[in-house]
Amino acid sequence: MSYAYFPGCGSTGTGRPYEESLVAVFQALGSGLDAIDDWNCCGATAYPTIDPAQATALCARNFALAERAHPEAKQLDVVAPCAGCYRALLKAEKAMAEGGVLAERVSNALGTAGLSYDGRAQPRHPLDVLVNDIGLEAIAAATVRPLQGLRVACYYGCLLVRPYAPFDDPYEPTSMERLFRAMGAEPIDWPLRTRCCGGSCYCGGPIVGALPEATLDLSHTLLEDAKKRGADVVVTTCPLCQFNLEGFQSQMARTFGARLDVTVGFFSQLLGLALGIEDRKLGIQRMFRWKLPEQSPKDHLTKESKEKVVVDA
Amino acid sequence: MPNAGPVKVGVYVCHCGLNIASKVDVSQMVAYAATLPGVSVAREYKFMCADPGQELIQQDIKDGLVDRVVVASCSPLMHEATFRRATSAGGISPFLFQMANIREDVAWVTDDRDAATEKAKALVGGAVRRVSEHESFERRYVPVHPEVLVVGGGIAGIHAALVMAEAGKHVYLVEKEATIGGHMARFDKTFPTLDCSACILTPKMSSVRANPNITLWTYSDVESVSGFSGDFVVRVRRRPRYVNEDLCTGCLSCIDACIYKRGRTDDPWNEGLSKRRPIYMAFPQATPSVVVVDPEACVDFRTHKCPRPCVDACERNAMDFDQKPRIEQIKVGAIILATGFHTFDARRIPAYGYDRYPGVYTSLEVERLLNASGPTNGELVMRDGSHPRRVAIVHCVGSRDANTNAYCSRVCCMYSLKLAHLVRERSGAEVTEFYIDLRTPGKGYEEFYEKIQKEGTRFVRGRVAQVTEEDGALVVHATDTILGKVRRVPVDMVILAVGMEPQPDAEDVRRLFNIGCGAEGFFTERHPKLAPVSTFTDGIFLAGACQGPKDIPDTVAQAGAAAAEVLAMVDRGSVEIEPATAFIDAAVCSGCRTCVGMCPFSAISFDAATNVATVNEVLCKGCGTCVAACPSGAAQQRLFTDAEIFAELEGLLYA
Amino acid sequence: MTDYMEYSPHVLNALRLGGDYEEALISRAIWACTSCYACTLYCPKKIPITDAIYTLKRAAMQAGVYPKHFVTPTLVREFAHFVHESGRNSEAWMSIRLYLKTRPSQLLRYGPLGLRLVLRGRMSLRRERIHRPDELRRVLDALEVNAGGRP
Repeated sequence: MSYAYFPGCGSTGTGRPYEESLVAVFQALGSGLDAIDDWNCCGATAYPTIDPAQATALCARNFALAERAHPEAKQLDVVAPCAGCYRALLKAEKAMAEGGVLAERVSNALGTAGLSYDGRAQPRHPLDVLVNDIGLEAIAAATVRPLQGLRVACYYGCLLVRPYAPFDDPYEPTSMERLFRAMGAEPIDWPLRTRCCGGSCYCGGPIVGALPEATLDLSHTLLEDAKKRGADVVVTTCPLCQFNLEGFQSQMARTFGARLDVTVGFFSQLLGLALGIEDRKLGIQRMFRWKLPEQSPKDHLTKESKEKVVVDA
Repeated sequence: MPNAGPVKVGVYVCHCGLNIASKVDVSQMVAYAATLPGVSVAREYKFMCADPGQELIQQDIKDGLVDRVVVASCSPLMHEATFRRATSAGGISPFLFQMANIREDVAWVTDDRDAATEKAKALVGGAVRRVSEHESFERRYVPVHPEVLVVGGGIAGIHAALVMAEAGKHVYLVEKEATIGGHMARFDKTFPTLDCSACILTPKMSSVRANPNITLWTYSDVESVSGFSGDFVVRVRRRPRYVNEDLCTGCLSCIDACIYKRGRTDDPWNEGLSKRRPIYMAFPQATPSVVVVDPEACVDFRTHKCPRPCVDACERNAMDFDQKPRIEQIKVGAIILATGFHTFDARRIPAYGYDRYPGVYTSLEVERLLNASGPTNGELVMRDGSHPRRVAIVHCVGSRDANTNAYCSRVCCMYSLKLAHLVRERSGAEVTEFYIDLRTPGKGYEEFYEKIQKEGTRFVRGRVAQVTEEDGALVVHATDTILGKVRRVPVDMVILAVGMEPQPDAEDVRRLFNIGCGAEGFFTERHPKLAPVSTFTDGIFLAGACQGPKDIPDTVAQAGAAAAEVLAMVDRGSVEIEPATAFIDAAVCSGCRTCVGMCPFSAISFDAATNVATVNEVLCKGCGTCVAACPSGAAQQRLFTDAEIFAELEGLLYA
Repeated sequence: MTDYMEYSPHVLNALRLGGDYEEALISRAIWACTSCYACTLYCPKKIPITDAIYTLKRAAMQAGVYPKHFVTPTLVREFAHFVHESGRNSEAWMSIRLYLKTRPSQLLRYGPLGLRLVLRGRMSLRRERIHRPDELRRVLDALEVNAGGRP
């Protein structure tokens, strides 16, 4: 089963390990990710600040291109790993489905370039696809190196669950926790897991942000809390969130005192490790910091340990 | 059946002051009406519904000028009854009358005068043609059985029952819990007087028990209701308490004797804050003063090995483990539903931390803590045994929110103020209330608010966003909208002012009694302003929170009102049946039974022997569904026959 | 982010409704919004607050009124510039242009971080481009009515 794939501008930059690990994971589970030919930027949170119609059109072009490549598919899932892209694509899809003046203008604009969007393309997040399509049982069965009680802090951030929450509860999401529990990890109870880290184009993190002190504070609060709750690693679903949480820990130490030294990765990287994929394929060498607690070597899953892996339906 | 012979239609066009006359040219209408075939008299008057207006109609009939009446005025909902009475007072059948609505349907909704007048003329034309087809029938009545049923023994049910019993009527009061008293029996004090809730309630509860006109069945449910207004047949299932109610004196020796010296199951009376034993009495003033055995908790029901010390301890031999459920069948003329409310489940708002942090409570839980006969004997002690020094009260939990319940729950502001007072008085803790608005509309309510402010309770105007835990304290996050700043207030205890919701089984109950409920689940009254205690099902009335959130004064008032309307019905002795009911022409009926299942009021029965369906005219509400569905045209409706409808259409379009 | 806003979201809404539109436009508050949508989710009246703030941001950009020291509108413009020209965003080039236009000293400050990213393959120095940027430009230009911000 192959999915249409929208990499997003982060995939060649800070989100490169995300893409690498996601592709590897999907491959290991028997699915493919086919990048949309000539995909363009989704507009993120910047284009809605310019013009909502243009923001919609940017996403609609990607849908149109995906549909053109799959004329026979009645419904076309477009997998978008970056939560920012995911939200932008969802918003565009809803705006087009609603009909109305904006949808008409965008349709006409697409038409001037010979493109059309029929509504067959639907954005989906890889977390959704993994948990709900491929399924926890298949993933548990494919787990080769169970995570052995690793305490994972699952960070959803904002745009994955707000304002649209098509596949999980926006207040108390559990998809990632269920996923990692199926691989033998012990996700921590983390009420702050949907709180903003400040990484979007707005705050843009300390790098391009207008309020660096705000962003630093938001991210620091999250990491400090995760650490206090005993997390061994924080996993994310968005390149901006991941970089924001990982990249400024020394600055946080200077501003707030204590060193945090928290490993922050992409959820697909940890998933890949459990599936037995080697580090390089998951882009682990690209991370600034990667230190997981010692896991006892277990290359092969025995029958007993397979049974210990809990599938939380 | 069309009427043979010429008719003499009187047309009366009302000005309704300026309501109609400002938009419709009444004189033109009268002139037009006079030209219509069959019209013998056409008049106009400023206020047809007033006595002189009605006199016009009566006089014309008495003078022999008119034998059919058309009034062009307001909506039939307003004055159809008035004009039918006037017609009847003139000496002919009240149903030889038709109304044309030229106010709500024309004057109030049309901009252009000419268009309005044309439309009004068409409506009158339709009414004139139609009324010519009307048949003359008389009003019909059925007798009302003089006994009454009240479902629900909270303050609403208790008050209604007492009023009716005092009037000499026999009342059955059915309550599903083992004791009457409802929620009010569980409160500590009531606003704004700060009366002890049980102290003002228990005398009424005793009166219920003592009153010879009231048959009190507790621990009972209504199982089925059939029949119709004036003649309901109700089956009540009385659940077994395993104690003979007539013998038990409430001495409680059996409870002392029980092999379980400590509670085993969550006590719902205390909102799960304590445990109760398998044999129990809800609270010391339970009425009836009879213990109950919980078959789920009592070990004897599972193992049959318990030595049953309770049986030995009872001096009156009242224990009866062989007790079975009993079905009582009663006949009543009217029913009052007073089934009360349920509190909003605070787990639906995870941001407030209920069920996650032990320091977060609902208001009802705190009422039990403050109550002297509650789990902590009236002391404000938390689950972990500590005494809170700082308390936050969060308003509007589950209310005024599109995500949960959109309506305002009406009582929470007042009870929150009350709880602030009681908490400070009882424990000396500092109280901060987080509110959006402070709704204090009743008598003495605003003054109560001022009193609470003066006592030193703090107020922050801002909806609480979330409750978190930091460094061992609960932190309440809210924007102080007056200051324009976000406040993060650390406290020891958070009290959530949960709203009122319908009972979880409200949907089942409403089906049982054949009444409607609104989108939020509260039972629907006949008219929100002018008929707040009756329903669209004749003979069934509402009282208390089951009809919508309200406080105790309003509940008692409504209960009294419902009792009064029931008394009016019972004392009148009969109810009129609506004439526009359906009937089935047996000769034409083919026995297909299409109508039987379609009837929303279960008013049609089928006789397999004769292969004919029949409409129960008392249950029939004249909705017309069966008439439309009948493939053979056997089902017809009085006052809405094909001839009448087609005549009206002709009059509208061609007259 | 309310702590960093001189007008909290509901005040911005009130300003917008009450006619004190300009005050909302020139505020710092609208730029502090990270568009996390928490307000929209929790609002009991289901007011689309985040989208309302986007409207204020757009209006502020069109009117050209925003606090001078705010980097964000410039970021938005740069972003749009890149997407309009090449169809994709080039993180490195965009950041560099942004710093040059607003706070050149940041280049020195974050240079090392940028280098670290490049060395680990997490920052591409290429100018990212799609094959048919003219196709995209045609679509965007067809919608160019009153779009604010693009240079």
